[in-house]
Amino acid sequence: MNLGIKVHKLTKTYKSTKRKYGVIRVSRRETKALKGIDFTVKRGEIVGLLGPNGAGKTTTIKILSTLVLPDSGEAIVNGYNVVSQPTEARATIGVITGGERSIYHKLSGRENLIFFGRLYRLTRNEAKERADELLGIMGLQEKADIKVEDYSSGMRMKIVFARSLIHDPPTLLYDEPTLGLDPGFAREIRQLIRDKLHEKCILLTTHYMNEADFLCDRIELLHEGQIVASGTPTELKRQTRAFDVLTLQIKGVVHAEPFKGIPGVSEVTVTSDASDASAVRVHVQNGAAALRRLLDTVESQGGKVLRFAFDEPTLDDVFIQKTGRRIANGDSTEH
Amino acid sequence: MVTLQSTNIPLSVADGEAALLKVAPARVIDFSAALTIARNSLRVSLRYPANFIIWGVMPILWLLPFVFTGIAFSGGITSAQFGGQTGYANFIPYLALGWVVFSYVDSAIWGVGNTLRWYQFAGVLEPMFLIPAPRLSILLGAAMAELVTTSMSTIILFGLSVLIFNLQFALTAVLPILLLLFLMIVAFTGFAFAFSGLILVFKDPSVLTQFVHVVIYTLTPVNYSVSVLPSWVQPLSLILPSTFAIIGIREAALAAAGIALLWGDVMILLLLVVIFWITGILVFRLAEWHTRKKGKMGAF
Ligand SMILES: Nc1ncnc2c1ncn2[C@@H]1O[C@H](COP(=O)(O)OP(=O)(O)OP(=O)(O)O)[C@@H](O)[C@H]1O
Ligand SMILES: [Mg+2]
Repeated sequence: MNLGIKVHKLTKTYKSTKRKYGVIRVSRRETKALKGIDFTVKRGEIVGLLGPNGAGKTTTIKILSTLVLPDSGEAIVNGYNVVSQPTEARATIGVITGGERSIYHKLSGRENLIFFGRLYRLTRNEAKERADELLGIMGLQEKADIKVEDYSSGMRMKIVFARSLIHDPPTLLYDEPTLGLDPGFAREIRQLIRDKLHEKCILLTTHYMNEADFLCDRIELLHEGQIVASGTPTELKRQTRAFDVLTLQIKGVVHAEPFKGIPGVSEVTVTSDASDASAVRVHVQNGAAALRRLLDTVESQGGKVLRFAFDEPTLDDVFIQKTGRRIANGDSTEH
Repeated sequence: MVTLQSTNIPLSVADGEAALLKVAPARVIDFSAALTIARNSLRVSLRYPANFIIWGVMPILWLLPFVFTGIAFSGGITSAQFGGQTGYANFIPYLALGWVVFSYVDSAIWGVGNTLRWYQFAGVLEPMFLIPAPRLSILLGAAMAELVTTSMSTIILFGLSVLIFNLQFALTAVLPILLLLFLMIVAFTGFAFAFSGLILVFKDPSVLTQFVHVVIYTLTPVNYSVSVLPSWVQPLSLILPSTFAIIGIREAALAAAGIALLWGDVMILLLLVVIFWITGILVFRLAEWHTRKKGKMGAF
């Protein structure tokens, strides 16, 4: 009934004062992190909050998990207002922020889980049973009784995951849950979220476009504290169908500017590496029609086209179209 | 039901009623969460055994220099001059008791704040602040754990002093001593709440902590009586729970004062408990609010 997340006109401005010797005010700075965002996440839904660095993703997650106070607007988690009923709201969420450090390294994985289980008001037996089950799901039974300091970072992250589930909360708030994980383990986690947690209500942030594409039922694109687009990944990508996405693999180094002069071209990204090769990715109204001009532009700069391809638009392309900026810097496509 | 896979644990979320809430959450402090945290803290500190032992013998090392200084000044273990000021000519038990009590003051000033600071560094502050209990419960848990470790070291201190200096205390004094000690510890726990608030806001208050520590230490009659302080400073000494606790405990242990005689001290301590707790809770809540506003909860 009330399960889920409701965010209405949420704003947050960070005011920071720089002081000299801790007392004398040198300067004051305001950062508008959220400028009135609205969204909902229903039970059974996985919603991805996507945006470049500083977009306000972590701020949103932290407000929802009662770690940060908003300035105005409303945030309701499972029927509880996070400002006026923070304790109740916390009881209903499982949160990941801050990665693998956020568990006791001097305790074993099992001890960590039981400890937090108790704090989430499970009885000792419930906590034990639950810890056992989660250790099983994570494939950590063998290592369950070893101190976390002797775990690999992937194993620690599994415990962090397990902790977020210890009280079986209806809502999960995950801030970059797969950050820095090796691809194999990241895949495992994504599978877990997809297969085992589909009845929950999940809000997650990520910089990996493919992860968002794979996991999320809906995406909220966040840019400078505002939601610039939302919809299912397919819907969003369909919106960019107004143009084609072309990539050209080039021998030699080329510049983006000349491509922008070609009629119909809206976005150009050039990446190049040290080995005298570059890749150009363009959004163009009609790829087939512009192809000749594109090839010429490469050649006029002394480059040689090795390969070209029409690509499926990615969520990053959607973002570029909406804001003129990329979400991620190059690492968006590796997963 | 929202379940992971097989849980037999009933999730108490039924149609919009959130989990946990079979039991309404505590408003100010959740004692059972505090106990769980205290137990866990002790378990963690037992995993640093070297620290544990060193902390255990530390207080006696603080005491000894004062004993030796006393002997150096007086040429013996009693001093008429000292007796005239304090009422106790034999200064060794006077000092030993002073340090036993002051160990608790010390742990109140440093302990809870340090725990919070350690959480920040270790990265567990945010997850601890995410548990469904008022955040003061975490501080109380830390204070409880501190109480246990400090009691262990004061027992060592007390035992060693009795052995080394062949001290004799009135056995009937045990109850009044424990009562006074308990009230003082409770009062200082309120103080620790306020202090932890400052740590949330200022992150690294080691200079501040040091300052407060030195001031309280100087004002509390640990090594000398309040009467040797300049007269304009003396009133400050009399707002400290430690002053009343130390004076009362010495009367009970060394002058065999019964509870009837100590009633005044008890009442004053009770009053200080109320004042310190109200102040502590308000200061911590204000600091928590400020930190959430700033978005600097887990930062260090
Ligand atoms: N505690 C703070 N004090 C001042 N400014 C802050 C604070 N936390 C965040 N900000 C600012 O608010 C804006 C939004 O930050 P936020 O951490 O929410 O971004 P994000 O979308 O999570 O970025 P990233 O992808 O880098 O994690 C940024 O400009 C950031 O610098
Ligand atoms: Mg972030």
